Amino acid sequence: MTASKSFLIWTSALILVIAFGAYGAFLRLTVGFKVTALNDYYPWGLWIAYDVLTGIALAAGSFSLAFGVYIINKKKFEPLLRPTLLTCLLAYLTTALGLIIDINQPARFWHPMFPLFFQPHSVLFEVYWCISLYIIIQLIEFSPIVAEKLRWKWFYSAMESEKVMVPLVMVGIIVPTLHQSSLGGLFLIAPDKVHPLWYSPILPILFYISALAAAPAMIIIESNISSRVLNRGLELDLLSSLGRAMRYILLVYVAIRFVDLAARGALSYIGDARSLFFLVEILIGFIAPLLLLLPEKFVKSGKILLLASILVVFGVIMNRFDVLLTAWLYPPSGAIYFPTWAEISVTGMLVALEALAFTLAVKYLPIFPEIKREHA
Amino acid sequence: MEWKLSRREFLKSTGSFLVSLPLINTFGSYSSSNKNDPDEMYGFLVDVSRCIGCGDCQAACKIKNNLPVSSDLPYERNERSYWDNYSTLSAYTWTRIRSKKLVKDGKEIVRFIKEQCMHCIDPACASVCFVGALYKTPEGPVIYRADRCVGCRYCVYACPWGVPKWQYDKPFPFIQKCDMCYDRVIEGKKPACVEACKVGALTFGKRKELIEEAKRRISKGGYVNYIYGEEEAGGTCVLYISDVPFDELDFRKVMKFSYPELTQAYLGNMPIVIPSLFVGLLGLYLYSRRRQEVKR
Repeated sequence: MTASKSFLIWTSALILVIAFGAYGAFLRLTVGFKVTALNDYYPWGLWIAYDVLTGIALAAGSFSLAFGVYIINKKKFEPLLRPTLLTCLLAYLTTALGLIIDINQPARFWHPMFPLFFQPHSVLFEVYWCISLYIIIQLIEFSPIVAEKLRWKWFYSAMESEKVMVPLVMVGIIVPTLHQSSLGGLFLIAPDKVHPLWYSPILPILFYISALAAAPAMIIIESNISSRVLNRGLELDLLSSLGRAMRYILLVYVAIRFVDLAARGALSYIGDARSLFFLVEILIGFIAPLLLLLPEKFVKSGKILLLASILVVFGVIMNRFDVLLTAWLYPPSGAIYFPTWAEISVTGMLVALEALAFTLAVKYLPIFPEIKREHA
Repeated sequence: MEWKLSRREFLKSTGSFLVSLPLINTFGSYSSSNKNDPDEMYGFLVDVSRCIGCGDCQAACKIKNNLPVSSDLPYERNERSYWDNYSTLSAYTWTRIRSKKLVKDGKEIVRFIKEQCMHCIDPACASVCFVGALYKTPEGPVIYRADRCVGCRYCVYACPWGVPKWQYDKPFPFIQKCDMCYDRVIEGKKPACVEACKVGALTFGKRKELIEEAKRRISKGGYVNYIYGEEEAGGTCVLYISDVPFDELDFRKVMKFSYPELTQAYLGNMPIVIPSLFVGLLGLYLYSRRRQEVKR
């Protein structure tokens, strides 16, 4: 890939978005939270809903794929590993950056690591530690790619050996499993402030399963984008296998969700103002893609796979926003929250940073093995 | 390079993992470590029937804690009813008097309710705090250790009464809330608000004595037979009695168990979940490798 015109336009557009978001972050750090819509009623807003909850949920692809390739030995998925690992690593890094902008005392981000402050009874403590650990694990998992580029053969072959990779992958599956579910566990503390359509004692399980559903969906979407932009073939048979996995995950998710709602008697809340969000989320985001994926003929169609994946990602994004914001403050307190432009610009900056880093990594690192690179 | 894992090695690694379990067991140990006797905790009793809404407690709190009389926060000024000095608690108002007009025996009356931190026996805010900035002292007050705070605002989210507030008008805010004048309490003095009350609406003491006092007043008549705070959120150090039902005074209906139990029930699973995941993954790995070998 040469520095074509479209590449220049794309990167400069991203840099513009990043610059705008950096200005928003600058205002947050100088003027203060006045530039956000956050207040005592809404301590958490767009940054937690998108940068953290959604960002992490959509980054479940890496450990799911590692499970497939290294644990249950489905080596055919190997070509998907590197791009997925890259996007997930970038998602976690931008989440960390977003959190540092979001917290009141950015310079103290390390406090939970300080042994005298340890609070293992806090769900957030577990989330913090698991996310930090997982970033380190992903960096180690990513290191062979850099080593290959730098031609450190000894390092590369040492890292790729099963003796190193399998234990690393096992820890790299347990740690995200814990924090994907613990992100749902954060909300358990507020049973009388979160709307019953979303509050559930099994929120951790629901968060975990929906993140698992998002994993194949994200891989399918990313494969489609990269195949179009980089003019590489689409691994349709691999994506169909992912579609089949997604079908079963969605089936389990929808079943558990409705059994849980019925068991808690929460179905009677359908009909109040917020249930519209619930219906859109569950019908368009989970049930529609499930129906799309049921016929075997549809799973083999690239277009329907892509459509179902987009719907699932929409459903997971909407679910995270609903749990954090739509469901918040029930019964209603009168306070409403809508993010300001400064909040939106910072979130935009994080997404653009991810896209820019991905673009550059694909250009300079051996991410897609079959593409010829300039310096390879 | 093939990694050969024998049965013996499998058992050895699983065994060593199980031995390390007591370490993981620190998850969920919060409630058991919090063994302070609630009877011995300090708190105060608010007698709604005696409060005349003079606001001296509010003023005393502002003076003691060096808080501005009015702030930039929009909610402090919004929708204030005639009798309210502040429309809500905020980072700059740690206690306030709220008024409520209602009808009792065919007459329109007004009642005044003092709001501040409830100082739970097992506070949700302290349980969710991941650096121990919010801390339940053995003496009763729930205090805030600003030097630890990262500012995640989980406490603001978690408190069933919405007591912890933050300085969202600043770039680097801190959490702010009533600390029951902890410095005064450990010196053996009453909190500033209790000392300022001239009509006997506030009574300071140990929780056990306060409950006895509340029951004595209720038994004399004229009160609703209910002590708000005796069971709310697993019990609080601030207690309320009233001559009109608490529902009519818009007291928040909260769960009658300690909120941290909800998250501990989840975190308590970790000692089972983590080793099960480990054993499950190892088992699946060995199984699928063996299957591949057989195929060959």
